[in-house]
Amino acid sequence: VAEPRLSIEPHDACVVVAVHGELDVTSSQQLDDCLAEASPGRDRMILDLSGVDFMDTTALAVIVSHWRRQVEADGMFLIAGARYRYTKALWITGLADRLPMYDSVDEALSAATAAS
Amino acid sequence: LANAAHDDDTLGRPDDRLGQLVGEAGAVRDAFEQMPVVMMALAGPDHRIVATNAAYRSFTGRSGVIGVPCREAFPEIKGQQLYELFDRVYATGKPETGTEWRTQFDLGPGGIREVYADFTVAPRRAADHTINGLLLVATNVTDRVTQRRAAQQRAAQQRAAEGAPESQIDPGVIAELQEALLPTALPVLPQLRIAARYLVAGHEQAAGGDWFDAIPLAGGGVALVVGDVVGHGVAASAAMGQLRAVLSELLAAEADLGQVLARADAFAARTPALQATTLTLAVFDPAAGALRYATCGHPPPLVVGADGQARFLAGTGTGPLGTGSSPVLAHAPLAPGELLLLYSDGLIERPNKTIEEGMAELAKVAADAAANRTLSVAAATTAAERVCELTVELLTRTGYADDVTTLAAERLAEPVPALRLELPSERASLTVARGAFTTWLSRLGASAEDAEALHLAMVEVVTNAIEHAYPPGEPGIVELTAALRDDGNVECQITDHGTWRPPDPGDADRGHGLMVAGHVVDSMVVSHPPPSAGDSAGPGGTVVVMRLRLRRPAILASGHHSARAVAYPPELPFTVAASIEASGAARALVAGPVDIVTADQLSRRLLSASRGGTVPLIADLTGVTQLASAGVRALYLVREQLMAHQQALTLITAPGSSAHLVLDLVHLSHIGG
Repeated sequence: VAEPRLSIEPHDACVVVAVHGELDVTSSQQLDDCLAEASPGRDRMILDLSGVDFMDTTALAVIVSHWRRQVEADGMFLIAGARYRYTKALWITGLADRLPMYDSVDEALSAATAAS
Repeated sequence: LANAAHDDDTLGRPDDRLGQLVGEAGAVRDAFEQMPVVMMALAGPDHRIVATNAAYRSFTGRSGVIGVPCREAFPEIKGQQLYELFDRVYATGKPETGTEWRTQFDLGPGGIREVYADFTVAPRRAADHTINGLLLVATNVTDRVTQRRAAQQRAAQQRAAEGAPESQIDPGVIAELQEALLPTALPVLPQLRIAARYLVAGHEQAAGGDWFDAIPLAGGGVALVVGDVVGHGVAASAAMGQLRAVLSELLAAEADLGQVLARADAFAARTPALQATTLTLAVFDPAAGALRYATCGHPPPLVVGADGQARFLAGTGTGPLGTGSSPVLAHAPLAPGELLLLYSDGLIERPNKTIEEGMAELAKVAADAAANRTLSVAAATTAAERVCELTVELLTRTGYADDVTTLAAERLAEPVPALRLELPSERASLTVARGAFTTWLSRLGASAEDAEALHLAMVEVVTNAIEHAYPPGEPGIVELTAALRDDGNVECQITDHGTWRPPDPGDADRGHGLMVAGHVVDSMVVSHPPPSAGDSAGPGGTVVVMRLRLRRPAILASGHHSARAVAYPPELPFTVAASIEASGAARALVAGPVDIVTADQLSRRLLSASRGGTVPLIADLTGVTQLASAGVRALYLVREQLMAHQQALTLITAPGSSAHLVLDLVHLSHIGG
């Protein structure tokens, strides 16, 4: 059980936040801070979960709060690359049906760009 | 020499004759060297290497072996049954062939090279026609095998991704039927590590009728069965399915093993298709550390010791079921570290072999596999899996006429003890719990799927206890215990002694955490025991008990080279997505079949969506494909729970759908979607 690695990378009008590793209550603050740091100035945010090996509902709560914040500010919040096996909580809670989910960052980027 | 002279009459001296027929010695040698197939010649009974061509040297990755006996040049191939085949061809003069034979060459610092070959080994004869060596011609088919496996894997992944049921590689109806009737998963137990492998005969006329089973019993024991119904084809498979079901029912209901066998015998006697069924039944009693077993017309079980020695248990001497001889039980010890192997006669009755030879070979291969003396690369990690995999792979290489079944059970030398953790209610404790729990599950040998499910559930419940049980600034203790029971269930209990607050409908995370945990385990019970007598006044905390039955896939293979691991039964596309509406009511979107398999899950999910019935629930059933009576019962149960809290259950169905019609019939009020 290691701390997750988080990175922020701007792509034109979008910003991609990539997470590698495991997300639980011990890292939820780190995820929250990183998403908060990434959001100003960019109204389209993509959260790349392709490197996530474990995720529980505390991480989900952080994701949902940022998703709400973005949508309320007329922005976009897209999820990319979530793998069912490691992020089951997204599906079990039904959030996978409500959050905009894309198979890859590239697909999320083109969706975010097309929406402009 | 006098004998050899007769065909030399017309052509003079042998060298001249060969020169005219075959070509000049230098040219032949050059051609042999450059021939694009793997070729090797051996001399003498110890198979000394006398000629190799370039393709051979490149195939084996080794040169400088001329003059060296095979067993010395390639010691790593011992135990792969190849030298036994050489000995046979040398002794009998009958050529033998192998198809897609897996071999591993030890390249020293270069590692191990795994290759597949189709080959023929033929005798080499002296002028007087006596055998003086062997010739090996082989084609390297590694690429073909690798590509086909990759394609099969891609296809399987695609099917899995589409949620489609795993389809057959071999379309044979028998193979399909057998697979449907055989257990696809084996129990994971504290004392025994069980593995099985099943290979359906290539010809439909020969396939069908074998079965195996591993059933935990109420008293803590486990019953192991391998049997063979006489005859082949659909009828034999169907009869097998019947007997397997009857036997497992008898084992569940009747503690007296003699009675179980007597009743199975009587059942076989009055069912024509089951008469003369052969069977080995062995029950391991972990308390006694011993086996009780019966071999009804079946070859005797093999025990492989921890020292790598193998012995056959004495047969109990009774005939097949339904033939008038009453089954007799015998006792045998099974010491820690020993492995029991049950198998069908297909494994020892092989072409050109006596039963005795077949049994001796089985004992040797099983002992080598248990001790991990063969095929070091990619060999299964447990002795039971290695024995099943390698006995079938090595002993069926030269062909097999019948179905082949193996079931191995290794008595663990050191059963994994229960896990007990006492943790302060702080976030750092979660990391401790996760590390210890993951290690514990991997020691049990849980499948990745089961381990991941339990791990997620544990994290959710422990997080809940750490975050919510104790008021800020007043930390307490969270206890985690986990044990694997004799029936193959993991029981995981998480206890806190804090204040239980019913989840606030607005506090989405907390309800979600328990819901996710409940979803991934077989059962979860949350209780709030009253404070014990010694405690001061106040609540007694929360106890969450979760259970999950651990299973490991059995390896079923149809056709010689289409071996594959059969995954768990495909997950039904049954889903429930829950959310909370702005009004505070819970909404659950249900899709897929609601039947006896999914009904429990439905009621559990609906109850967690409505926070145990404390908030009104709208269940949208428009995506339900089938609503069976078990599903109706589940809906009634949910409604009762809601009514107990004066909350309403609103059901929505698609007009004209089967759910709509069923709810009309049972008078459960609902509205059209």
